[in-house]
This record gives sequence, structure tokens and C-alpha cells, in this order.
Amino acid sequence: MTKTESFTSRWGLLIAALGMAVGTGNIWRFPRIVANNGGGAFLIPWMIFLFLWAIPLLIVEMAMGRHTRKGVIGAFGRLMGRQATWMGAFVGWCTMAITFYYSVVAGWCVKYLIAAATGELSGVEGMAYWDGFQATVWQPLFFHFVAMAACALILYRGVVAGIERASKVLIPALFVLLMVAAVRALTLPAAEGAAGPMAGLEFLFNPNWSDLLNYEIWLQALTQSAWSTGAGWGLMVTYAVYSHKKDDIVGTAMTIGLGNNSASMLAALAIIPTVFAVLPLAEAQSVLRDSGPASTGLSFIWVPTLFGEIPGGQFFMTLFFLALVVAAFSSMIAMLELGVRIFMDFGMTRRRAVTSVAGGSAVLGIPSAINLSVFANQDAVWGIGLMVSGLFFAIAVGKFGVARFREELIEPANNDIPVGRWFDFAIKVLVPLQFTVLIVWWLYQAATSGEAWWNPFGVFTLGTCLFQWGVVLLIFYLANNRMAAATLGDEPAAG
Amino acid sequence: MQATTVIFMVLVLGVLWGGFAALLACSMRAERRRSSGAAGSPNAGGNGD
Repeated sequence: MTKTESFTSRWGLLIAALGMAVGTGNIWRFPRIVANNGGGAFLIPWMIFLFLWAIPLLIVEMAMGRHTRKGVIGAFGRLMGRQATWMGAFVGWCTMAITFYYSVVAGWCVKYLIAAATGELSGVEGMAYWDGFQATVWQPLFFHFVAMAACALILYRGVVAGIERASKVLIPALFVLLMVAAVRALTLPAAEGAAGPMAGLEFLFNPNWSDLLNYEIWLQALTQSAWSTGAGWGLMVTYAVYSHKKDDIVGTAMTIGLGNNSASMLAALAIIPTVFAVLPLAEAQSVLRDSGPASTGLSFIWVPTLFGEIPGGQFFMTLFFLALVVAAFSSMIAMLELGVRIFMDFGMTRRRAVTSVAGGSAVLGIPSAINLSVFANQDAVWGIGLMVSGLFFAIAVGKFGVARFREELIEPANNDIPVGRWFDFAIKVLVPLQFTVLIVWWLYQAATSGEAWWNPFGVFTLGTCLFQWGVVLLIFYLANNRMAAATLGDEPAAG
Repeated sequence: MQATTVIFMVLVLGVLWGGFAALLACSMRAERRRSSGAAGSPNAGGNGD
């Protein structure tokens, strides 16, 4: 039996995990979500949920991966018993289904980086350029394949020479790029009639306390916190397989969470003051809220237009899209590795597993690359599916025994920060409660949206989510025993 | 800028960036301790399995 590769150190694991967490969602999604949800007031629930949802789930994932030494399917099978491998398969599928279209976004970033660097984006009207790019069809497809191939090449090299080495370059580079962009944004001169970059700071950091009574802000904060940190995706399970026996779990999970949110804040400081430096107040607020087709608004429609109007615009636009490419690649590597680890657990070599996962993902991403409605549908279905994934992790720990999980799987590690009984409360009560509130709210919204909510072929309907989740869950439930045998062999259940 | 904005900004960025920097420094120190101190440490290289 071949030995599993390991990161060279705790530092290697940490930097790879930061790469996993910090993705396009920090740069592309976060500034828009803040703007749409009250600016400063949003930051309070967003930080609360970092500690109540994301960090406890990251701790669970790390402990599961390190204890079971299996990818997400085998990890559920080993922890809960062979009959539960289907739950791990659902978690893995959710993340892989996101990977299919995430590669399309990474491809857009590559295309825009090249266009910014060559001056093709300078002085263009953002929406017209976007429409022209999408209308070619072959270009989104081509760049989707480029992004997939680039990540596959890194993964071929393995955990240390591939993932760890790439992360050690990409993550520091990303933070430096974001810092430079933020400093530039804050020192921009105000254009004629514009509010100026300091108005962006006022917008971002002046909370209207009454906004905290709006339940939607809390729900959006939970959603952003859950999706942006990668908690509940199974990605940390995968990376923890390559960790050392005594590596700190609690400190690593907290560093990932705080590092991810720090990157989001840097991205907001790079974008929001730029918008206010170029546009008058009301227009700036409206631009920040414009989600555009398939939520592309701020990054792919407005950034080319706005950066065209600032001094040194081409240089800083290139910097911005370089940061987006780096963030996209560092996360996509982790997402593909989740599939690779599962296939390696089934007995494949790394090279075959990478070829199968990257090749399959490239093919399954084609519909999203050529049709934005498919893209938006997949984004909604599997993005929301991650809530179910998070719940599955809480159920897995609940079945194993929350206190036993903490005492046997977390506390023996060299934790710089001790995990207290708060962890038991978070996993037993808070995570299921947050899931219930969020899912009930979403069901209510979906069922009262006016669209034919039951339609299984709608773009954003409740019916399409339930239909696609149902099909996937049924297939994995029926294939449970075969997956358990392929991943776990004849070993007995749990613990 | 209003005083509330400044105070709130310092609080948010202090928790996020300060916390992140402190944790990074802590993990770097631990890493250095481990690599300099323990040839027989369970974490000194090798395989995790």
C-alpha cells in the first residue's frame, strides 16, 4: 500500500488551507453583499457567524480528515459507519458540482487579466465588452479549459511539490496585490462631482444600528460566512488527510477563518472607495448593488469601466484581475483535490485520478461555460446545497458523540488555543439551529417568489433544487454499499 | 469622517487583521520551536499516517 503524502509542516497546511478559503467570492461577491445589506451594519453579523458557524465546522472537518485519513466519502463512512457513505458522497458532489462552473469563472478571470494587461479593456464600456465576450461562445469555453488544465498541472505534481508550493507563492502574492489595490483606492483623487474615496469608508464602516433588526441582513451574513470560508464543503477534510498527527486544529481553523475575512475586507477596501472616487454618491451606491448577469456585475461589468477613469487605470485593473486569477486558482486547486482524493481512496493513482477529475469536470462545466442560465442554475442549486452539507457534518459529529469527538479527535492535537465546551454547544445547537432558520427562510422565499416554485426546470426555483438534490441523493443512497466497499474495503465501522 | 466610523473601523479591522496577524505569528513561533527543538518530535517531518 502506498503511503499518503503529507504537507511539509503545519505552515504548509495553513497556507494551502488559506488558499482553499480565499477565492473569488471574497473579491467578487463580498463587496456587493456588503453594499446590498446596509454596509457597516452587515459586518457585525458577518463576524459573529464566523465564530458560530464557520470556525466550528472547519474544526470538525480538520479533525475528521486527520482522524480518518480519507477523503470526504471515506471520512463519513469511517466516522459514522459504512451505511453513511452516501452523506459524504453528497457533500463531495456539491463541491464538485460547484467546481464545474467555478472553472468557468476562473476562465473569465484569465480572459479579463489578459485583456487588462494588453490594454484591450481600457476605455471599454463594461457591459458591451462582457456581451461581446460571451457572444463568441468559444472564448468562455476555451478559457474554462485553460483554467482547468492549469490547476490539473499543479495537482499532477502532488501535495508538496504541487499544492503546497503553489500556495506558498499564490497566497502571499494575493494579499500583497489586495493591499496595493486597497492603498491605491484609498488615495485616489475624487473625480468631478464624485463623493471621494473617504465616502466609501463611511459607507463601509458607519453602521446604521436599526439595520440589525432586519432579519435578511443576518441571513445574508450567515450565507456569506458559510460559503466564503469553505466551511462545510469537505475541502478541509481533504487537506487534513495530508496533515501531521499533532498539527494544531483549533488555531489553524481560526487562522483560516480570520484570514479569509481579512482578505474579504481588503477586497472591499480596494473596490468600494474606488467606486465612490469615480461616481457621485447615489450612482456609486446603485453600481455597488448591481449584480449583473450571473452576479458578474461589479467585477466584470463595472471594474473595466471604473478603472478606466482613474489615473494608472490599466495597471491597477491588471493588478485587480491578477488578484482574482490567483484567488480563483488557489481555491480551484483545493476543490479539484477533493475529487482527486476520493478517486485515490477508490484505488487510483494520483495521475489517473487528476486526469479523471479534471477531464470530467472540464466536460461537465461545458453547459455553464456556454449558457449563463445553466451557470446561474448550478450556482443556486449547489450553492444552497452547501447548507445541507454543513448539516451533514453536524449530524456526523452528533452520531459519533460531540463530547467524545472533542476529547478524542480535537484535544489530543497540539492546539495553541484550547477548544472548550463552547464547541459542543456550537455543533449540537447552533449549527443545526442556523441551518434550520436559513433553510426555512429560503423555502419560504422560494415558495412565495411568484415564479412557479415547483418547476424542476426553472433557473432559480425551489423545484429545481429539490429535483437535482433528490436525484443525486437517490443515486448515492443506492450506490452506498459499493462506495463503502471501494473506499473502506472490509474494515468494520466507526470510531 | 465621523468618530463612530473611525471607532467601528478600528474595531472591525483590529479583530480581523489583528487576530489574523497574531495567529499567524503564533503558528510561526510554534513551527520554529518545533523545528529547532525536537528531532524526536512527532511533527518533525515524515508521514502523517
